[in-house]
Amino acid sequence: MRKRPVGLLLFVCFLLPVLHAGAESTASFSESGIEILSARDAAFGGPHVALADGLSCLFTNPAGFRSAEPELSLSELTVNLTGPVFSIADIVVQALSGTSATDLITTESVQNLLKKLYASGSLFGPIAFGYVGEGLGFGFFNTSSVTLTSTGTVPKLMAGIQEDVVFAGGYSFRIPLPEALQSTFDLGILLKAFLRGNMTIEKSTLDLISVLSSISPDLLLEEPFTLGVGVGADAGLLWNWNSLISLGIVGRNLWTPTLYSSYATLQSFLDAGTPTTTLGLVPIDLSAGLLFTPSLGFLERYVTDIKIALDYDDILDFLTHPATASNPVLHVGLGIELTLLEILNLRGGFYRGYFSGGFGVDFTYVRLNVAMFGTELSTEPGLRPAYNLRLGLEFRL
Amino acid sequence: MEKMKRFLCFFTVTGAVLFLAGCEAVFTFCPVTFLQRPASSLTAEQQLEYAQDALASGDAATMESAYAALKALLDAGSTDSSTQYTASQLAMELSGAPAALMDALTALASGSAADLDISALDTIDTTLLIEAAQYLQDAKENGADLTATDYALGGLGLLLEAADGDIDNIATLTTEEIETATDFVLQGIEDLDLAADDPLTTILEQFSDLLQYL
Repeated sequence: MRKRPVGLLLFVCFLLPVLHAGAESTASFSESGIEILSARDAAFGGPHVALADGLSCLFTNPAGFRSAEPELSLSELTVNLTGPVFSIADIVVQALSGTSATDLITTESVQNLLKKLYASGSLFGPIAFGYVGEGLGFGFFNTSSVTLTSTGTVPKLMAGIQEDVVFAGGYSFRIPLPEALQSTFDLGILLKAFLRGNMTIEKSTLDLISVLSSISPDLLLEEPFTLGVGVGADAGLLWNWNSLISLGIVGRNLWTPTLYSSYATLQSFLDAGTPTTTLGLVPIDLSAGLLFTPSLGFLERYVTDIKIALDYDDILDFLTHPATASNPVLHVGLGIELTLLEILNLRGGFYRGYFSGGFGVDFTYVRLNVAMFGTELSTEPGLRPAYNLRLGLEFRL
Repeated sequence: MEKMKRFLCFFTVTGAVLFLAGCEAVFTFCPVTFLQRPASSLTAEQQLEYAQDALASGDAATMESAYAALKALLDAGSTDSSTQYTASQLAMELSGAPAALMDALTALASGSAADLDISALDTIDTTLLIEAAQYLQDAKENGADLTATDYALGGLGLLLEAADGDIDNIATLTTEEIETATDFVLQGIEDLDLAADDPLTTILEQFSDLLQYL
């Protein structure tokens, strides 16, 4: 009798993503999914689907809810800065020290920066309430972000502001296996919903002359505003052998429809104007990963724990969103984490073509995580690299 | 043990600060760049994505290969406005015209308009700028939104087209021959819905006048 739900879940995990992949390639446009910023994952070579380790598995693999140590998140503040943060800081210092805007903008270094600028700042939290453990996982989060890009010799500037609110909840259960196999096998499913507000302002340098001539506090009110809602499901499996090797497979956004309402201006939204609505579908992300947690023998007195993880994410991107399908090497994530004396974590990795590194300090109820890593903004390695600095402060019980 | 833990924390924070001071180059170094797929091996929609990334990268060699790929698509009969517009932006950037315009804007911003060096036009690749103007016109006909910069540089490209790509021929053009270029620039005022007292209206009108007196 128990075979029926298992068969159904296996169907959801594997067959549905494959079937849906073909259908989705004909969708009118693709949407970006939910991204939960984690300083630990960033330093550790990206998210790892075979890692069932506290709240981090909420959006990486719902099958991990069963084997994860129970963890309650009260709040979190994770700040991420992307782009040439030190160069921008240098320009800000020059501006503050009295250099005129004209002199500043005509310097070669600033003009070179504006030719290919990508800078963003994101804040995950303070709403980050969630629980994972004993097969249950749920959470309520918010993320705010600001992005600034500039392209071309006569720069075309784009500024974006976005706010995401996400609610997710799911359950994982264990499939009993013969003891002789020394294995555990968990299946999990997660349902999620999100609300997204977005404003994007795009101007060429000449257009800015027009904007700046009539600048007022109402400037933002005159820019287009988009409000999006989406619901979806993730499903995954996690197999562990002898607490040494784990294999995880997850299908994210198995069916995640979205409804975007575009308002001509923010004022129109505030005045309850009539929007243009667009239906979309977040592309499926099928990912797989391996985790190796070897025993270190006598070294365990100092190195409490070691984790080595290897993942390949978004396996079906060439079917689900072919236009933006990445080079295969950009799907690979490799990471290592060493826990020293139970409180200090050192992390390193290689993710999407770039190295990452960082550390974490566990003060029991508060955790500090720092990560430095590169990301690729294009679909090919080395074409548009961006530097990232991420700092996270997690309040956990 | 407690001392050891304190030492570790101190070591970590100090190490992190030192690390942060000079690590941008390390983390933006990509050791697998050699695995890049050539633009010609991508599908049409991937080529468009690649071209937009190439434009954003600011790298001339990448932009050249992306432009060649898009040009082949358009020569094969593609009428996609996004492809036409992106091709125009790449051609414009590769022609060197935006650099000349930026020099002019910088000169105007610093109040040295009198020193504006028209001979900077000699450095422009006229063939590419003419192609950019043609793609801009096609993209506009197919529904793409152009910026004020596009109208200005597109007008210059159309002027060079009328002069058969030779800057020296511009002076010999008749008013009728110049009209296509000036009309394109002035069309920007209407398309961008600019008010008469908008400074951008003045700039485009002056640029249109400038084309007549080059």
